[in-house]
Amino acid sequence: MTPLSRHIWEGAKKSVLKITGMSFKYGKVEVLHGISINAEKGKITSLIGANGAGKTTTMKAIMGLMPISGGTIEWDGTTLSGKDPSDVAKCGVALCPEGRQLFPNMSVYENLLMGAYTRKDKEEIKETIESVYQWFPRLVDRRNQMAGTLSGGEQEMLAISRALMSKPSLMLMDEPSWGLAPILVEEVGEIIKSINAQGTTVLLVEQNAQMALDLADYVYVLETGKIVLEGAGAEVSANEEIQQAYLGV
Amino acid sequence: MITGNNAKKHFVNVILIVILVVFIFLPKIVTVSYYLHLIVMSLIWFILISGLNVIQGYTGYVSMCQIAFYGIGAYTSGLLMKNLHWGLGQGILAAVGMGLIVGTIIGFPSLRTKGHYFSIVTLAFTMLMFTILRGWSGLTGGIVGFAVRPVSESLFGIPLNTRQGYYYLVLIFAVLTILFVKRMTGSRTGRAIIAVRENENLASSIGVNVFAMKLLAFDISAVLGCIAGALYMHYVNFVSPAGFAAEYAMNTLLAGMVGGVGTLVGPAIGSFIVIFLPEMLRAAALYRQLAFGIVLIIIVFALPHGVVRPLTKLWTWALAKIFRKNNVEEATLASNK
Amino acid sequence: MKKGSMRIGKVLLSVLLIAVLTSMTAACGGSGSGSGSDGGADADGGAKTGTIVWGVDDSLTGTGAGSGLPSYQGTVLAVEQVNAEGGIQIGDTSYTIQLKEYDNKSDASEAVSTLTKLLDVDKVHFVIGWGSSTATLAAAQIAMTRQDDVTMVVGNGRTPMLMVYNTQGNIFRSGTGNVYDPIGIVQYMKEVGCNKTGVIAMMNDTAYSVSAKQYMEKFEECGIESVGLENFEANDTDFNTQVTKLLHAGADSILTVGNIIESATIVRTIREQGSDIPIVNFSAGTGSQWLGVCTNEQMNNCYTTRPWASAIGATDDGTQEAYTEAYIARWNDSPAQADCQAYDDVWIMKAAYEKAQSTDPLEVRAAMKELKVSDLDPRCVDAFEALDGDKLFDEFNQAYAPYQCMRWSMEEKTWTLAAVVGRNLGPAAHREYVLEQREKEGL
Repeated sequence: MTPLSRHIWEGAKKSVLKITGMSFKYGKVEVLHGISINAEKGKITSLIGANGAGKTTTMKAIMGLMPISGGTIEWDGTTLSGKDPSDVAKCGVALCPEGRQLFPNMSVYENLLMGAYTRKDKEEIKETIESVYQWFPRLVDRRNQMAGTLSGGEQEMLAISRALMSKPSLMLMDEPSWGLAPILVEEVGEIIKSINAQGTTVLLVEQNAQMALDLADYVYVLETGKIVLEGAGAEVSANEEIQQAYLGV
Repeated sequence: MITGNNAKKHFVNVILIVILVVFIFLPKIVTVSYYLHLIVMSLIWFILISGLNVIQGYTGYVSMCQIAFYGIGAYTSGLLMKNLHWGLGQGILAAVGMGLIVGTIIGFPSLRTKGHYFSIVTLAFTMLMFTILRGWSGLTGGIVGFAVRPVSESLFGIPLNTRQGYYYLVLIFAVLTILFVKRMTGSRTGRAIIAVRENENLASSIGVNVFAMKLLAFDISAVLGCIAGALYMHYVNFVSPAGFAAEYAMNTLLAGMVGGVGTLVGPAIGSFIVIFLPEMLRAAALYRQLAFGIVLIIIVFALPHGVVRPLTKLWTWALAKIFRKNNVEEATLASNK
Repeated sequence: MKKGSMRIGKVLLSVLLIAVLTSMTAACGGSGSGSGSDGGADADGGAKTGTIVWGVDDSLTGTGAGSGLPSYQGTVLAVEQVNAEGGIQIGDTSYTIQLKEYDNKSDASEAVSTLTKLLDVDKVHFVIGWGSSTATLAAAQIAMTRQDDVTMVVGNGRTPMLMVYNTQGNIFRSGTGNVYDPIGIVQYMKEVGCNKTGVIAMMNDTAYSVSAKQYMEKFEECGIESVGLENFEANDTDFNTQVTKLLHAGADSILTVGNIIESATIVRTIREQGSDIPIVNFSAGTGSQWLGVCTNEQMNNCYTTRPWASAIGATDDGTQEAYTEAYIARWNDSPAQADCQAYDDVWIMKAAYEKAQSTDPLEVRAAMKELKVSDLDPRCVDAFEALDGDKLFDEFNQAYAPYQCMRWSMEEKTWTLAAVVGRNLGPAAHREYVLEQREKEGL
């Protein structure tokens, strides 16, 4: 993989994501019970768990798309909890949401342009787009095509690229492997590694536990709104219960 | 050097200039003045529906109160002329101001709702507006309405109290409207507004202040609606609340949908259809209403994105054939209007 | 799925275009062409014949259809009668009247469009009808700027504001404007026992709201105390709330101002609540229309005050009976108020053509201005008041007919003439009103 130009990831160096005692209520029902997660700068942190465990809720809460009922979220010393999503984005956080969300009636090019909404430097935005095209040659061919007409794999590429367009220091990735063929899953995994290699902190949420455990430096296991286990990737992989529950062993 | 894409762009520009020239000479071409009257009404509605298109087509919020802004613009300008003897230009400016004020006041609560709820809230506002116009008879003349003197100003030497003169006035405003909407939708702000329609959460996640964008779109639609209302007032010189009742909100909705959602040309098509179709169906006498309804149902079901969609495809295909480009997407880019 | 719907879309679009083009050509072919009238010798070389075309612009649909449709029916009835007797005789040519009608849907914009179409496309010079006020006022704005092209002959559109816009003298009206000084009527109300009157009116209607207000303005002058004003809408069926309120406020009499059926229902409600106080109605209607809602007993102590109530036996000379019978025979429907006005307008037009002995629109208009009441065909339903010099129209082209106060007769089970009021009061009040309003509007 050709590395993206260095200057994009400069801002990524110094930050750390700290979630302390975060709770979330859906109506009157509490679905996240005071969880705490720390993502070290420049590392890949994974959050795994079954469907309905609260993973996507956690991602949305960090982004400000959902209001939390307790606890704090900090990034790079700045409090994120309570901020509007657009303000969270301005703090250097980018979300690659679950389900590969795009602007379906905009072209690939326009989607990328929108990803850079928080940036005003026109020339540099153009350079970033060029870099993205180098990384994802398939997107070049489709650059004027409506995003809604792309294949699943291409949409995932686009979603990731769009998130990269804002030069984020923290990438939140919510189930990037969802609905993709195994070959594409591998490719996405490689991309995540490369992004991280450039210095971006990644918080990865996955139902595909194998992929998450392979990539992660540190893992949290979320079950029904609580962190039941955490540890370095290798440790958690070796855990027998985890193997039984999540790896089908 | 005119090559490939350039040739296409030039071709499109030439077509646009030809259309503009036709419109400039229209009063000479259209010999029966009645049809010029219908065209004036269509142009006024073009401005009205272009406004609606901003909140509805581009932002994705189906508004049922565009007709209320039509009325607010008409009454604001008309009452100022009648009671304080303001001129046409001042009346239009006042209508713009009123649009901003009322648009913001109504926008704040209504834009907190979404989808069908938004439509219902705006419909409620339309009904409220009607009740005020009808009930505040001390100011508005109540259910009877009121008349104003034809405007005394002239445009390029043609008096505005003639149909020809007024036609040129409205044409200028229509051209300004289309330029404004084109400029706005192509800008960063315009893209942000469209992003709100495409995926509100995603738009918010990439840094768009969604509420501010929605309010801006709503205010733009209010201002354009009020301008259309003021132009209407000084054209027919008589208004009554009955013309702005909730049932007419359906006409704006249909004009917005039938023409084409979120396009520049859509409002033009929708307006001409809503003004001309009842006229063409007059031959059907009492079955006219039925025929109108059926025609519109057909359009809505067969062409949910409006009449402009197949027309755009036709246009793109024609351009591709003329310029023999293999890549259809290139043609789409060049003809992107 | 997308491809399929695109194909269907294309098919339906072509069908739509064909349908629209067909109706367009039908419309173009169907519209009246040529000038307002033409004459010439016919093939036999005997009596000459010709056609005169008048435009009819009425509210056939919409909120004003209650007046617009009867207005249109009255027009057609008269025209058929005139044509059946050989049409309008000018010199040695008999002219058949042809009508070109459009529906203005009780809408100001539509009124503008239809009048413009009548003038520009159908090229008529006289437009009659105008049963509903909103459309009429909108159209009057055009009449003011196109005085050489059009004469508007208004029937039932009674808004007092109309003649304010008659600055060019090309608008005529046979229906007595609501500005007509109602003091005669209010005095009659006092005579039949109204001392503390509750008013229940259709205050959201263009014409009724104005009438109600004008009556109430004269109450104090005539020694009547107003105890309340209640509102109702067209097609309402339950009036208990309003009636209870007024009775509770101490009303010893009620004035209703609105459509016939609703007024009758109000009468029934009052009687059902146990009150037998005098009820004065603004509505017209035949006896049988009222008995369709109320019993004969309930109609006791009821009155109407209207320029013309189409009740058989209302006046002595049988004109109204003849008209009512002819109307019912033609339309299978009872006459209202609006149809009489439109009916009379046709006779007025005929008289104007005959007086002018010309089909030139401006000459006919000049003749119409000079018409005497005695010039009119005796079939005219309204008993027009002869102004100075036996003239039909005042200086603003408004005609006058006194109000007939009718009392319900239990024996005859219908309305009977009780009094005729308002003679000689109209023109002065009208003049004052028009000049005052013109000054306000800067005309």
